Amino acid sequence: MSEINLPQLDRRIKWALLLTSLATLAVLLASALAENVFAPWRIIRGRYAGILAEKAGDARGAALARQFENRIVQNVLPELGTVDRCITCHPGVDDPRMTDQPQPYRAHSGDYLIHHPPEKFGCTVCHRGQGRALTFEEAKAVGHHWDYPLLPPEYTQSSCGLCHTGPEVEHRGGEVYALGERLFGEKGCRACHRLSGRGGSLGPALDGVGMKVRGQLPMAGVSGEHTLPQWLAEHFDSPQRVVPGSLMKPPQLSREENTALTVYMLSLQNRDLPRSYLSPEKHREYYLAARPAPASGEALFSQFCSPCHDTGEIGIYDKFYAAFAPAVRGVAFAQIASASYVEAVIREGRPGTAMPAWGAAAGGLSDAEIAELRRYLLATPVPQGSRLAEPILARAHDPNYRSTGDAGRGAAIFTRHCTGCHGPGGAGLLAPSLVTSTFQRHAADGFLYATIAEGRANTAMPGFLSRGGFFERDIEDVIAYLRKLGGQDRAASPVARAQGQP
Amino acid sequence: MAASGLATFWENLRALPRNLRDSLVRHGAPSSDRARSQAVFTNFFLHVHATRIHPRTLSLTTTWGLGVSLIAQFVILTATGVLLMVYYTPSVELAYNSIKDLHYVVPTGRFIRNIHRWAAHLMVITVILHMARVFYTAAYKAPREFNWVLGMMLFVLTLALSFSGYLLPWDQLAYWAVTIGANIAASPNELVHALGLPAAFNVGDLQRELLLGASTVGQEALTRFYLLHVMVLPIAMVLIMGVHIWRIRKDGGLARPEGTPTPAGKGVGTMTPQMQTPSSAPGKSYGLMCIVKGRSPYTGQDPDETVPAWPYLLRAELLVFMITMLVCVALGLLFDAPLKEIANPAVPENPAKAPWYFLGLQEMVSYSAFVGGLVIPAIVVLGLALIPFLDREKEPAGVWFSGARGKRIAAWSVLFAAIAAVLSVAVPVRYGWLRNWFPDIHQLWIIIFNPGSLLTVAYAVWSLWILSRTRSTRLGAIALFTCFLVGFVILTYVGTYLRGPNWEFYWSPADWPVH
Amino acid sequence: MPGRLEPDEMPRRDWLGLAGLWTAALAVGGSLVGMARLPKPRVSPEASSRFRAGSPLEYPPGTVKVLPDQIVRMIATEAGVAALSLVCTHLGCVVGEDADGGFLCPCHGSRFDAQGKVLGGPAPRPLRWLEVSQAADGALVVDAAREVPAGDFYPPTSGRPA
Repeated sequence: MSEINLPQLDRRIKWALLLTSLATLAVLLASALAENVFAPWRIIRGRYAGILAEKAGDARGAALARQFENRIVQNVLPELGTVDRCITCHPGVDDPRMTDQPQPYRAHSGDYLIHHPPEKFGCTVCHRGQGRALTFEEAKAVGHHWDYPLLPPEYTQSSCGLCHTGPEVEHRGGEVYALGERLFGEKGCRACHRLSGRGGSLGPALDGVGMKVRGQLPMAGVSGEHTLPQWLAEHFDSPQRVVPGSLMKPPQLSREENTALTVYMLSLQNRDLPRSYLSPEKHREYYLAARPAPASGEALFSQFCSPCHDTGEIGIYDKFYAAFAPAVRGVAFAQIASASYVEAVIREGRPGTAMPAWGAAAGGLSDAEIAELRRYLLATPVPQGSRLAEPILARAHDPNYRSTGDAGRGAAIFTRHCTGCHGPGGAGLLAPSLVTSTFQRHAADGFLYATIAEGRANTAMPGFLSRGGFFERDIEDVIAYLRKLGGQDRAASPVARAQGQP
Repeated sequence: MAASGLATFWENLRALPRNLRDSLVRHGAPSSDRARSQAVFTNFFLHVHATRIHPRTLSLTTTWGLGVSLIAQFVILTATGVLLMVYYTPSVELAYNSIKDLHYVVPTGRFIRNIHRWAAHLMVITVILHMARVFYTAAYKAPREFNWVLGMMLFVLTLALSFSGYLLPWDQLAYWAVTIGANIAASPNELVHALGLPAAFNVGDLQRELLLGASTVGQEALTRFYLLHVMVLPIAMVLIMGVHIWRIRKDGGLARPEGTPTPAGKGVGTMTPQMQTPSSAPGKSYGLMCIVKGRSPYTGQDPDETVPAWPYLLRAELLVFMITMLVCVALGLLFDAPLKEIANPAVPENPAKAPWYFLGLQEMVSYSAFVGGLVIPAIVVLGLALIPFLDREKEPAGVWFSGARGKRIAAWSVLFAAIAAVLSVAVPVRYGWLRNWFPDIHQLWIIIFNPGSLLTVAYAVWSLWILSRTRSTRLGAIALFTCFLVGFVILTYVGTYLRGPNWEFYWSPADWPVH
Repeated sequence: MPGRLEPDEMPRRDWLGLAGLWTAALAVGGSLVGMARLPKPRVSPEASSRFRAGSPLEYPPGTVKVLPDQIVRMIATEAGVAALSLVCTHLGCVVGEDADGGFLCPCHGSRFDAQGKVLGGPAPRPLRWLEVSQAADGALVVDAAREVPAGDFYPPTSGRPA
């Protein structure tokens, strides 16, 4: 073919071959240099060798300087499933002479490494981060596709909780963790959150929350780094900003408390660490979590109930939920509620409302604990002036009492007097719902009668009979209407059975 | 006797290096054309070449060196792949960490993994370009039809190799891409459910089970993908590749326009015995030549239009190899191969995307997994494979687009295919699809009428229309192939850049909602 | 036109072609060298060859203590502390202790005395004495990858380095 000029073509091919080969060589050389000469860890360790030589004051220092090699060093910990190469660039962590050095050469703070030798613990079990990486950015691993990035220093104590209890480390370098653990109990977090099988169900269970990964958390509302600790901290500041529509009351924490509670959350990891790593106290804690020691009613109340019911003596209006929490230790309630009713409501909760079930399968309270709690609730002292009249009390506790009212008439009365608080159809508004299955099954007619007639002292529920304008028949009609709302066949209902008991 | 025996032994010992070399390579640097031909002919690695080639072969625009580049990429992938196997462990507990170690501490590990990853992507692109080159220069025509079919097999194998390698790092990217892929394999059950057929017809679940060894991606799937990736598919690839290359020669070398002076050097497979001048033929191959069939187009043509393959062709091939290598090592140096978080079955990626070359399919899969993921690809692959059997016109092979008319058809096809593909995305994005209009519509209607199937039908109709108007199967084929190529590019672009979380449409990834 | 069987007139020295060829060979060769480096690991996946053997206070003179996990016998005398590897120098089996306080290899019957000296069998060398040193915090450190001459005891210094 005439258009092909072979000598010219061949010359071009030769030139192209020479140039591409040279370029390939250059790339290979660049790659070799980047890996073997300019790798950051080589440079860092090279500098550390100089520091060691400077500090080689005595024979041992000289020996340490002599033995130092510029190579990757690591802690391989099959028991923990980690390989931590952090000490490659932090070679001075266990050298007490390096306290005055800048990072990455500085000695580890405190006496943590005396009790936790890196050969046994490594680094990432406490600090998290990507132990296999060999550059700081990748070891820190924020935004580097690693599930557990390096913990910011203020949260490192969360890892104490993997093997220790709060009281154990409170004065031994774990004060933040200890505070967090205490706050978790004091703030009554378990009222809504289950942990180790105990706690309410209004919020999500918290087991393993410290191991959540980015993809499990809604990050749209988080203004800082998109990491779990940051999420937790911002969430405690404003649950609704981070989780739109969250039912969680803003816990009103100081900065210090926020950090402490975040630390405690991060410690909830559900990790199967080898038993030998756990302190005896931690073993005991696990044991106690599985078989809780019998607690007093008062203690149970403060842990599980008080976040909503407060002291339980007065009906509290909760601005956040825009509803009244019943005065479960109110003087009126204590006089008219039966033991079986109280226990049933605690055990089963009020489905569809903020009151969760606390029975063993749901909230983790044993029958004995529920009985203890019931005793505490009903043991409220009743001052002379608040004592209800004997006939009312008798009716309240009369198992055979049945309303014989007219539901149709009751409906009209209910609409006029009750829906303002209890909502249309008794579905609950400011005041509790009257149609939950638990309530309908376990609240006896006498209990309803006494409540409507006398109201509940120290709450928003007025006594309609004592206030006047109401007659006994009106009350019976309302009860009949309520039963109709519950839609049950009364003859066979558990109410009938419940009423048969004292 | 003893002394002379010793002397002989001594002589042989001294001549050992030379004799060893001579027995290894049977010649020195060739200085004559005959020696050059023999150098090619007697070397195991070189003898797939013709000993003499037409200078046109050396020209860049003839083939763009794509086939040789693919071989180079396959060699690079094999070499780096074997090296990666030194450290890689196909276990769900260890795989991810072994990749991390390759990345961080294994000498040259990061570089080699990067090269492996980028060369794999490069190979998919190059295969498609190679296919386009062969198609547009009409090089699939008789007698090369079956080599085109082999090429289609290699195309599918390349995708399969790339996809099976995708799972091995066991990261989030891998896990969810393969979950999607496996469920596409299971998608015939869509049809089974829509028709209400008994469970015995459910081949989809069977396919997924064969692929994954379980119902979800796990250790069994990893083992199977590893086996496919390092053993089954490469062996199949090598075999078919060998035949593919061998047939280039047996089918008459590179496609040339009729009338181009053709080579008639020694050892060209299509020579007939009566043409052979004994003085210039290696005696041994004479008998071999007798059984090689072929037309004999060489009579009366000037053999000196050809040039020896050594050194011209070999140097050009070396150049292509070096260019390929340069691209691979440069990519490997500049860009790290992706590796996301460790696979977590509890946390789906959003958006979970297949490898880029399947994103066009994923776009169609977003309406019907069965049609988009299986039926259309099957039709496309089958349709492409059958092209040389349906288009048997005697066209000048080796001419781009078979001339000006073909160029015009191709240009119109680009326009048509682009509009149709954009519409197939834009209409559902803007107005929704059947389910949005008729919420209770039977799934069968969606399986049949979805943007993917309509697009395929539109392309088929367009090429048939071209075929009937021009009365040329070649031009119809050009229209069809162009449509396929353009549709592939556009849908892949949409799937890659315009689809965000929940497969919603976004003009840019910057608009994606923060997770 | 020259016949095809006769030598062509080739350029005397094809510098350009040769340079291209050799550079290409160099590049391919260089990449092969790089690839050949890969199989030699830069870090061992095993735990470190250096291990802590505890505080020097645990080794008063006269102590003989086997650390079974590390396959080492720690020997403490007035002169200091030494670590004797219990890996047979013949083919790597772990030697057992015999009745005389020496060692007997179960694989091919090599015998060693309490100091590791070969008494019989195929072992070509005495058992290895490993380097003992002290970490910065004072703990004894044995490095199984470093050998010292037999009889070389390490005298621990108390406290921490200055």
